[in-house]
Amino acid sequence: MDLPTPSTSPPSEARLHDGRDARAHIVSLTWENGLLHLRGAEHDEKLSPALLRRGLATRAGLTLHRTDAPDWRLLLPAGSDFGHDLAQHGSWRPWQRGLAVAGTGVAIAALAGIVWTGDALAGRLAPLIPHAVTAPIGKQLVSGMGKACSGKAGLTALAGLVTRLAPAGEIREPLNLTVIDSATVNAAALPGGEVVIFRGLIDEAAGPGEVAGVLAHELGHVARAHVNKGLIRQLGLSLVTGGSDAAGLVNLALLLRATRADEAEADGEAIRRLSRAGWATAPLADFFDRQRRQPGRTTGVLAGIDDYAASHPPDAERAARFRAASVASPVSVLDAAGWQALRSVCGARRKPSA
Amino acid sequence: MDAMTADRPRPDLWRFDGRGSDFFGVALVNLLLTVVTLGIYRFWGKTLVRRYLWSNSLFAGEPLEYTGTGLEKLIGAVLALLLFSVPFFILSFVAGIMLQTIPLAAAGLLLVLYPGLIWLLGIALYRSRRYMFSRTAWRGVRGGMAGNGVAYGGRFLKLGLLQFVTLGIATPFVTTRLWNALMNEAMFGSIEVTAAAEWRRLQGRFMIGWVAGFIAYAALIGLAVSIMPLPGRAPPVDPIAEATMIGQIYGAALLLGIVVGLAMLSYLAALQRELWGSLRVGDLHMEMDLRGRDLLGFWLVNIVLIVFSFGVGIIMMPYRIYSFYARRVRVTGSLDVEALRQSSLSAPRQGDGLADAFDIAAF
Repeated sequence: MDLPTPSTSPPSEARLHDGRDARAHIVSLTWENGLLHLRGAEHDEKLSPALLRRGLATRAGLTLHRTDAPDWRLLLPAGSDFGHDLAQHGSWRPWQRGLAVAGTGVAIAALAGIVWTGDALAGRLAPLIPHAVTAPIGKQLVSGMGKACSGKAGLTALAGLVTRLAPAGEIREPLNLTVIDSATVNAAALPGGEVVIFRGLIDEAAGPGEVAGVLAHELGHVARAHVNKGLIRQLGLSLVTGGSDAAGLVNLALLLRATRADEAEADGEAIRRLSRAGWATAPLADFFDRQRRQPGRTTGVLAGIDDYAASHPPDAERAARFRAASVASPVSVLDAAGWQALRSVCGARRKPSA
Repeated sequence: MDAMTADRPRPDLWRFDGRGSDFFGVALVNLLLTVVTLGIYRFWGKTLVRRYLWSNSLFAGEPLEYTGTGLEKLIGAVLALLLFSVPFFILSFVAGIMLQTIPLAAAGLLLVLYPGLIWLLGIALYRSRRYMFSRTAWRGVRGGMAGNGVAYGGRFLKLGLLQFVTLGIATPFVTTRLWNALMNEAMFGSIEVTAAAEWRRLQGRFMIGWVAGFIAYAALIGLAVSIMPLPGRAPPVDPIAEATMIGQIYGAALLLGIVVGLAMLSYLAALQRELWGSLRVGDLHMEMDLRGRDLLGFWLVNIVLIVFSFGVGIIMMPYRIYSFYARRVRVTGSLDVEALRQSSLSAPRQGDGLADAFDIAAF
């Protein structure tokens, strides 16, 4: 053990707070045979410097602590060098420091592990969540979004699209499609196989191919259980990071990383499904390009919140992917009557917003 | 002969000698280290902040000592996370799912869960004080609190409920009762701390603020109803109209806050005078010299400081708040140091983790 050997002799007097009461005692100090000898009216003891620790140093002087008596304080007057080579009070022993470094390393590695494998884990668990759990959540969300449109012919046309894109039984969760009567240009896949399209998106679409493209993308999310993955991710993150400051940062980074991957996967699914149905993929690329070219729509903070373009970044890469996936001699998605019915699924046809 | 001359009562028994420029150095290093460690350092940072504030607070010419450590606070926070946050998250998630399928059971669960959370908040407040007092020493003599906070948590919940059902009118009653309950369990060494704050002396001032708040609130609701789209009316499609509407509502809410704040100034100052003025530590008496206009000036400077430093000024808040009150406290009376023996209370071994989870300590 490294015994500190004070290089200078102690000051002749110091003040002692012995930790038993609030009285201050004047003690005389001498250095005898490697021990600090304290003498006062009520005190007479010899202390090994191994027990002493250096505490706060102020203009008034230096405070010494004792490892075996936590409330004991010896106040050395200023102007003496004694005690400055003692170990710092509260400083960690080498093994403690080693443990702290190792602990921090393990914690960082664990956090990194969760960030990198958490997404894969959530992906594995996602299909295991029973429909009975997710269905009520989805129903609740849909009912909170607004009035559902009930145009019979339009809904039939839409159901036809769904059947072509996802033949019955192919997707594990039963699908339920709703058109919401809202000007928002958006569509979403929700828990429990709920797929929502907003009327604004149908108004905005130049043709049925664009609606089919968006629908195929959302069905891709359902097929790959991305929504359940999101639920697991939210629960897992709130558990792992709790109330710590780092939570926000990690959460955001993880969500962004994960959703980018999910979006790309859903795009892949969309291309596969459109091609299988014999439908062109290029219209969705046109839709992305048009969304991107409307600056007021995507950059305005207020306007952007509910926007399809805002939640699905329409980068040129995505559009290019759909344009590249050419389909040999595509067939028409809907006939003129079907498209007309779909356009008026929420009642009298509205002018597309400029 | 043994006892020091400082034992004689002096005109400035209590003094705070901290300097903003010194504190800024401490706080800036804390901020930088907290950022690079993704927040983990804040436990050590808070400890250094308290150590600075305490060591510059002199009672009878001798400094207070803060003996807490960052590691304790970290352990406390981890324990709070494991014992409270995790079970709470799981239960609220379960309740969220149950709400869709078995709503009655879910409602029952939530009815237990949310009062439980308020009860925990009360316990957290208590234990945060207990930790702080037990880590505060003067001449090697520690402070402490006698209880474990469970009873205080129950009282906190009950009085909170009273405050809620009286639409806030019982606030002075609730605030003084909670202060008394908390401080009457505090000790300084072997000496008991007593508090006897009286709500009756505060109620009149409070009602001025309450009535002003009530009128302002009613006006805000009236405004919101007049400009917000009602179910029958279509919401504005034009983003500019939408922004104007939201701006009006937020502006009005801000105005409401300012009006209520100003109307409450006199009460808030009187409250601090009452809380501190009713405090006794043995034969020591406290006084708080504080007027409503002091509070107004204080918060105006705080806002200017934070806004013009682009938010960085927020790191000075622990110093500003502590210094503001510490410099207005006057201590009179006498302390018999011969009779002030070491505390017999056992000190908590962990930091105020639960309080950190609720983020309630100002410094």
